[in-house]
Amino acid sequence: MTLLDARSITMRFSGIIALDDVSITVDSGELVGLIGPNGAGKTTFFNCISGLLRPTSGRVVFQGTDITRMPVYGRARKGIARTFQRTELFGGMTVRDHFLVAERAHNRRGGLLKDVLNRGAPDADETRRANSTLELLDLTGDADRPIEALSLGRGRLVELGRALMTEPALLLLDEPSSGLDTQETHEMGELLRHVQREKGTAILLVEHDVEMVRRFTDRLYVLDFGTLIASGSTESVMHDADVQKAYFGDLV
Amino acid sequence: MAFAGGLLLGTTQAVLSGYLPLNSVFTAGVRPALPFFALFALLLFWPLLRRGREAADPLAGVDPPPPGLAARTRSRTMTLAIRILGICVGVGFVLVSLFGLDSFWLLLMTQALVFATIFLSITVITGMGGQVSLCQATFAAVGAFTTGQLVERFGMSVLLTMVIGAALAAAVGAVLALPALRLGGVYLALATLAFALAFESVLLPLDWVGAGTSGLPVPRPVVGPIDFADERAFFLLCLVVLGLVATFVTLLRRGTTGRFLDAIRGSEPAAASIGINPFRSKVVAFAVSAGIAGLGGSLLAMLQGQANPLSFATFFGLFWVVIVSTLGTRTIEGAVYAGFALVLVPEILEGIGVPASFNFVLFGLGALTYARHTEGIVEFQSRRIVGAIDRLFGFGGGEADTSGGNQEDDLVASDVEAAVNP
Repeated sequence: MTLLDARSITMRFSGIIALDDVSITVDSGELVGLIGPNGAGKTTFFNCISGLLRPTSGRVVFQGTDITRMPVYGRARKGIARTFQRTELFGGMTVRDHFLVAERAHNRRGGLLKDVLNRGAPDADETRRANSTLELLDLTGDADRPIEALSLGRGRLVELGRALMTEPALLLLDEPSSGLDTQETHEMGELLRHVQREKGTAILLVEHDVEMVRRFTDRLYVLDFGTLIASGSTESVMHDADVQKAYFGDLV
Repeated sequence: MAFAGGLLLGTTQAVLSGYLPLNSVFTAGVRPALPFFALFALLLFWPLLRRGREAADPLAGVDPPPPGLAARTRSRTMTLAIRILGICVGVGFVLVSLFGLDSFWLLLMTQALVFATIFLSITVITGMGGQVSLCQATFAAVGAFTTGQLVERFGMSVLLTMVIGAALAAAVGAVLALPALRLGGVYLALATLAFALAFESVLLPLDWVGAGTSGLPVPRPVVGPIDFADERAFFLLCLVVLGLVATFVTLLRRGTTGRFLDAIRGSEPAAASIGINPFRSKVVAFAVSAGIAGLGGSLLAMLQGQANPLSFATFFGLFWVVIVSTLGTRTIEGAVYAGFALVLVPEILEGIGVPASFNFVLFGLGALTYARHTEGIVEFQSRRIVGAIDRLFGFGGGEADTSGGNQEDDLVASDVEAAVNP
């Protein structure tokens, strides 16, 4: 079943065409990669899907609904979660707070009136769910540390956990391995596989690390200068001549 | 462009003066206020201002969030010690105020409590909401004049009108926030300032609002046998109101509202990406803040016996924002200290024979400090002091771990150090 259907997305910034007629689909429970050299438009595409940018033309359809004009939070409530290339964490909050606030935003049980009646604090159910995500990501030891005290790799895990707390149908991951060493990258890949299999979450992965893409994605899209130059099964795309050229130039 | 704008404004002003009825209060107000309306409208509808902020990278311009609150980094023993000390100081203050002070100083103390209440509105909008509003005095004025008008015209109970005034101020705040929040940052601050100036020159002179410069009489409430015209009783009333508002703000900060606002402050795109509606949260913060200011405004009018436009001048509103920002917008204590500072510093300066104009020097110095320590002096110093005591007595223990700190500034580095010492 098609979960995400991005049709002919074009994005122009004052004359520069960042995305030119890009169409991508993601099925439920799939792990799809989106690769391409720096400046190819991968993050711009993510921003169009998650709602931070509104495409100049084209449509975004999610679970059969046109969400092209829906605000970011509306898309999040429909089941699209994301992480950011440059981590966007909530400064001053602990790791656990990140998960609890995401849980509250997801279940939408909070409100001004409840706060006034002193019912605003996280309840047992919310705490339990936050704890299980902490455990899944092996963050229990860091749960009560402020986010500023964490390394980049741990920060990326917190972003992933925060996204998972909203129980997304589609997870957009923007370079989850950047800034991680080989070992951490491998663990991240295994973790994503686990999430995809256990929770049935579809994942669209923007990634630079060729090894991670090769190992963990089923299908691939390749962007270069804002246009799709290849798509198909990971194996076949990796051998595609155009892809080689985009990545390694004419030398190969 | 600026020249053309000025020319247009001048012409409109001249034309208006020709066509509008000469003697109405409205005309007298509209002409001088025209530039502020123009500024407000320009800010709201000038497309470039909006487009500028949604450049290619929607994440650019997201400020690094302020460091966490000092309270979070304290050890349990410290917290307990500070709490006991706080209760002792508070009880001592109340007893001394009630029984040890002459009526002049009691009046000053009451005034400090009233301003502390008003300043909690800045705690909400700036400390929690991360927005700069320069029209808190206007919201206070809305509360005060609603109270004045309702009492004057309908003879309603003062305490009831105080609540109505707060509700009306909250509504005004929400309505103002709806268009103004699309701006954000410095433009939002300018829009609120334009609104404050327009309110001051157009609405306040009207009969049904501020009734000119003379002000409206506002009596003290009488509840059963208690007549709050008595200075001691009124002091206690103000204390109770401050306590209630402070509790309210604390509950909001701990609850969903506060935690959502914290998240938005930390990263708006990320907060939206988990399903938080940032716009709605900020409108709520604006309304709550305006409501608190309105409540405090009524209280101030009661204290002074009249709702006087001079007490709610836009300029004072700017002064309020700077004094609270200087002392700390993130905590209840910050607002309380600011209330006392506003009232007591001029008295103390006068007492030791420093000319009154020195106030403005302090004001300037305060603004400079704010530029260095955006979290406010109280916040910054308490973090330092608590950190030092913790180290001295070994409450905190543990090695400093700054592996995650990517800030170069040694000030921030020391904060990170304090933050990771649980």
